[in-house]
Amino acid sequence: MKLTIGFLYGRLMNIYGDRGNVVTLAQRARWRGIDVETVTINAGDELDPERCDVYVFGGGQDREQFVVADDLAAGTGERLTAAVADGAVVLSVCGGYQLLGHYYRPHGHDELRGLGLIDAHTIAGDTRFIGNITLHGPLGDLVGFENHSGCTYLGSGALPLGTVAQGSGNNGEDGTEGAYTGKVYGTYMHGPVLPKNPALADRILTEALERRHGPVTLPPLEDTFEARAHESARSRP
Amino acid sequence: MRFRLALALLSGRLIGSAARLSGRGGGTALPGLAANRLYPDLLPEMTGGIPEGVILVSGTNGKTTTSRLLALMLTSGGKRVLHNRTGSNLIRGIVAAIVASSHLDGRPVGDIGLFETDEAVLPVLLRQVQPRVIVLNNLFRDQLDRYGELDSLYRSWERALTTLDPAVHLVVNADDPALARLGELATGSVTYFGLDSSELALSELPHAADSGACPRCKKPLVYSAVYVSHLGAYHCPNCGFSRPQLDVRATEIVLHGTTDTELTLCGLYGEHRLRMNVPGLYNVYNGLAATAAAYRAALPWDAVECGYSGFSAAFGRFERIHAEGRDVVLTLVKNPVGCNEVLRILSSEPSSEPLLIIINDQTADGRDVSWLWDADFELLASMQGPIITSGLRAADMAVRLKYAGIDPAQIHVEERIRAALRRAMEGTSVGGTLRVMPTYTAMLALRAHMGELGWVESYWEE
Repeated sequence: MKLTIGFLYGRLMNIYGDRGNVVTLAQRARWRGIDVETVTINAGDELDPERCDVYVFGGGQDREQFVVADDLAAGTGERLTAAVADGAVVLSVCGGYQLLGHYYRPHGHDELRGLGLIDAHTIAGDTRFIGNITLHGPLGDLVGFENHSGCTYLGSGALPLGTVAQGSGNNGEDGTEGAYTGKVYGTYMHGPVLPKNPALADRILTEALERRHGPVTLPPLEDTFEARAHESARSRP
Repeated sequence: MRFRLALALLSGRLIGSAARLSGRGGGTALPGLAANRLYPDLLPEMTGGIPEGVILVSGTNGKTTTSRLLALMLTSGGKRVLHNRTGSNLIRGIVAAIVASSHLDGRPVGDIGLFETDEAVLPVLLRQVQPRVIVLNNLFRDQLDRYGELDSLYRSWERALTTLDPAVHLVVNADDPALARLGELATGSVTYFGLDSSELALSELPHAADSGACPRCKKPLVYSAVYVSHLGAYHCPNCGFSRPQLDVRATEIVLHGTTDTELTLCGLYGEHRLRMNVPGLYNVYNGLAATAAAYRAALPWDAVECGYSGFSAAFGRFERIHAEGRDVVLTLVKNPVGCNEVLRILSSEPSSEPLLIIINDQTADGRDVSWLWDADFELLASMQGPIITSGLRAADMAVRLKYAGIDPAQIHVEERIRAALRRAMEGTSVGGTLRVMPTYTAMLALRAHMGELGWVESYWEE
């Protein structure tokens, strides 16, 4: 079995260690005997909708986000949408998450058009939400670290990843955090999110493998360190 | 008003002594806070009274080392240096250093001021102090949860540095594109330093690199050499922006593991072969920064050379401690760029002795431990010895190491720092070296514990 991971804008949109999500998917696949290839797709590169099973799309600062929004509008966005329609999985974090919604309205800049893969929109706020975050939800309890001032509001076509138990989440108002529509996931959780939430990592891995291999059941892994890191993150103020 | 100033100085000093006597720590910040409250103009008035002016050293990494080396050079040149030596580099720490070395009538004791300045504080300080020289080391991502994003920090530097009195001289790391851009925009004169040692260059920008974008036109830069993170020799094919001509540069650099470095210094003072008693390429940058600042402070070469030869590692920067027949090498890690340099040095010296990594997530460490995933712990994958992880986020570190390809059987999690140190010492052979990588508050806790064991002096008594 083979898995191909696309690290979307790995050069520009890679702050707060989100590369760790790529490493986590790759290692958890390898430990189960699956061949892994990782490709980084930078601005200006041509995204091949056939090639990758899962895309990881991280966060960046506003300046980088403008460059990325331009590149998405120049054709990459259409190709990514085609890949999703064909069964590819996307995990987007922070700035990436904002650009997968319908639009992002930053301070002092024109609205950035998003891809609309997640039924949500984002408006730059005045408060920066910074700190450890914990949620309960349909995909289990999740932990991470949020650091954003964008406020994201979900439409009826998106489900939140969970309800915030500690922290601010999508907008600091409605108690939701993150979103998923089909196999497209968005979250504000850094940490990075996958290493300390191995169940979410395995869900994404399973869905990614199913694009080419039909229903897959992954054998369990030894996750002692991961569980301990999850617990210590949860216990921090 | 003189009376009020004297009162402020006196109370600052009394609070400092009281804090030291009560064992509440170094008393490095509280006196400054009190004195500044009593006399808000203390900083501009007193720094204005320092005869040979003030040198500020700022940037993400290397402030403490650069300032210490420069202080040694200045002292070797016969100058009395007023210096916030303990590394307390916020406004109150700088005020405290001034308070601690002034006559009560307000005359500072010292010929020249040297203040290591936190990068977020620099723009604030520049509203109160007109320095003679500002040294800009580098700008990396560091504790983003504390400072907001790097971009906004950069913009506040740009506003502060482009409105300076043209008499202020800048010493700028030319290898950092964003700083070179600030040098281009600056109103005053600029001295540029950088590396010219392509045999040590990396083949590509590392993961932790902050940007690869041209600071002038935002298009991608092309690097002919990458030294540390985004520091290197670069040019922009789109707008022609490129690394400025170097006024002083280091060539023929030879790195000797965790101990020392050899280099040839070219420019400003002619050409000299030197040995620095500190390891790592980033310390070469610190040396160049200190050399250029010394030149702008009109120091002769023999004072500069004397500074280099008398220099040793600062508190927690490859500091070597002897205890129980073993060596303990302490290396502070605080962000991915600094951490990568440490990993590069450690992995260049094969060893089967234990490595102790202590990760805390208090405010001074940065609350967000995501940065562990930007650092290339993969460099440790060939390591033979055990790795003990400790601190509040010991488990996060263990996960990171596991995903970096290190055998989980080699990794031991012990949150409690004392127990982890005990375990690591027991695993180190007599005559061997235990390497320790703590974050900032972890290092303070570790030092306090080593103080109790009688291994080290308390840091404020150095």
